[in-house]
Amino acid sequence: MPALGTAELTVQDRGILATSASAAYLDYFSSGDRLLVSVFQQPVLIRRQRKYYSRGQAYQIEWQDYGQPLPAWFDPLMQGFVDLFTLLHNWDSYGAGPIDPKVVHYAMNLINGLLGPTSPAPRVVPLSSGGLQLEWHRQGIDLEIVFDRDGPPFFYYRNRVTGDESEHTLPQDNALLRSIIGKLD
Amino acid sequence: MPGRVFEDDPNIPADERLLRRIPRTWVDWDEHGNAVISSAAFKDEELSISLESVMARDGRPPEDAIRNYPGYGLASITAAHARSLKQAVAPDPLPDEPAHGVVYGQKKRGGIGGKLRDGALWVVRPVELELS
Amino acid sequence: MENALKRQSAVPSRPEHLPDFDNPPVVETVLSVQFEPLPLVQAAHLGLLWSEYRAAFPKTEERPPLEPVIEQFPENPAARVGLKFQALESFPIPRFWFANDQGSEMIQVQNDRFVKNWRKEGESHRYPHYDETIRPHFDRDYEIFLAFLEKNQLGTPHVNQCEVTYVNHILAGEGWEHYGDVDRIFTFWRPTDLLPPGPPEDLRLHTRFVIPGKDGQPIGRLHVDVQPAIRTSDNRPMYLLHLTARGQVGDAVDFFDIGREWIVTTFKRLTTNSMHNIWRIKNDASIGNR
Repeated sequence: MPALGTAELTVQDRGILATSASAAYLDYFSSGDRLLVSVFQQPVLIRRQRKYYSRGQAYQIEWQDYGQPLPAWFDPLMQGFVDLFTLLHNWDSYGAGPIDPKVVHYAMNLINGLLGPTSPAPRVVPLSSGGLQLEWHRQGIDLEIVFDRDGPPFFYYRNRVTGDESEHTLPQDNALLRSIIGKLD
Repeated sequence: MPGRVFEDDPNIPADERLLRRIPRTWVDWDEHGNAVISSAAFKDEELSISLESVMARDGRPPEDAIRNYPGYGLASITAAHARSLKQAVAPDPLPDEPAHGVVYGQKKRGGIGGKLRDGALWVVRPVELELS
Repeated sequence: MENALKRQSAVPSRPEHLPDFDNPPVVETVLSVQFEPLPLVQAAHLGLLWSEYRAAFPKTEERPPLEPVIEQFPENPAARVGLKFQALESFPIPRFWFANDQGSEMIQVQNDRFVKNWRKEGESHRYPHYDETIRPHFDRDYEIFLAFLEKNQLGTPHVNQCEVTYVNHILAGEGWEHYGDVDRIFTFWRPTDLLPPGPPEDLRLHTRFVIPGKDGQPIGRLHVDVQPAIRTSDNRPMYLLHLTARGQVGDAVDFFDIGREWIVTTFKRLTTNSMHNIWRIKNDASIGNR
């Protein structure tokens, strides 16, 4: 039975909910004075987990959401991240070390805020430097988001049809990236 | 070894094939079964390659570069292509690999890694396998 | 110590253009400041912090931490997946409550949030007003928190979001009788007796408004919730009217005043003149109403 590993995620980095409309309200005293009549309740976060297997190892990803159906990109993306965790030393045959778990965690949280329910899943690709990139190649578009230890994340965009290409730093250009990903659907 | 700086060696001709090992994790298979290399394979500042002419001098075929790496692919780019993207091409022989060389230069930004990849050709295609 | 509050020391008077009521239905007010997590703050520090407040807030409890939330612009409706990844082998730092004996004031603190709650004490008590009591007391208690952080070298908060909440219990028997009497309470409902649909049985509403800054760019949102409810002490029907303004301006807590203004003005505009009379409006300011 393969040992169950846990994703080494940092505790200090807590993701921001994608929407504020369902954030918990802060009143306390008065909530004890009333009973709501309508069936509407504030949605409650629930803890969920799912196991992924890679190279003979089992990993468990845990997250919180409101119990909604998961988007199609969720499993391939999580599998991609778990595949990074199981890379051994010298995985590239040129002396590369393991991928930095902090970089993986950062990438997980950033991409969560950028993908829509119908977004295509990116490929998760390791870098020999210990970072990773998320990439899409669709409809003549090359889009790569690079996460590494030596600087802020950035994305590179190229349109093979028009020849346009550009590079942008994150999270400053999150909005532009979200809009490009939206067009990949 | 990180931190070294390499100068371009003009003795390496423009048409020299620079061989790069490609693990499956850097390969995506499209819907037609074509193996496509990720730009990640070409993003190291000090990018290790094998100089085909040095291997040939020693009687070694190109496939010998992946002899100890079952399942890996082997891709080649030309020295001219690397230099066109402002990279230096230099020999860097190692005790266990006399054909070792380096394509040196910034590759992460400006899509350089992807453009190097665009000029790459398969010498040995990797075999597609399912990860367990 | 850097004064992160940037506010005059004298108690400011209530802005004259804001509606004022002698007996508003507000039952609770909350001010919250959220900041980047302070990595050096541990649960033990928050326990030590209690000693700074213990004389006035002798009751304490631990709770799970509140999730961080920031109003995003633009907000992509399609991106509402709401995932959050968390370490499996570490424990989040809890939220601590410090409450007074009367149960009318509470401080909530965690490593990325400082919150103050006020409750109206019984129907006969005058509600503590924002300018005279709520804001100055928040400033005082937040300064104690900041001084504690500085004394113990735990860092300086970088504020990334402020939140103002007013909770109103609009009780039946004062201007309205049944949950269907929505148009007697709220200005946004147009009644009809024609069937279908006829008069409503009750109303539940959640709506949001974008709060613009001086340059017209969004700086926050006002969330308005209306729900039918029952007061547990006497089973009296009520409508819960919950207003939360959340956003950020600059790097301190200047958003509090903006949020409060939006809440109070919106409260007046969403409720009818007849209800204003019941709540004894003091200055029928130039803000229009029906």
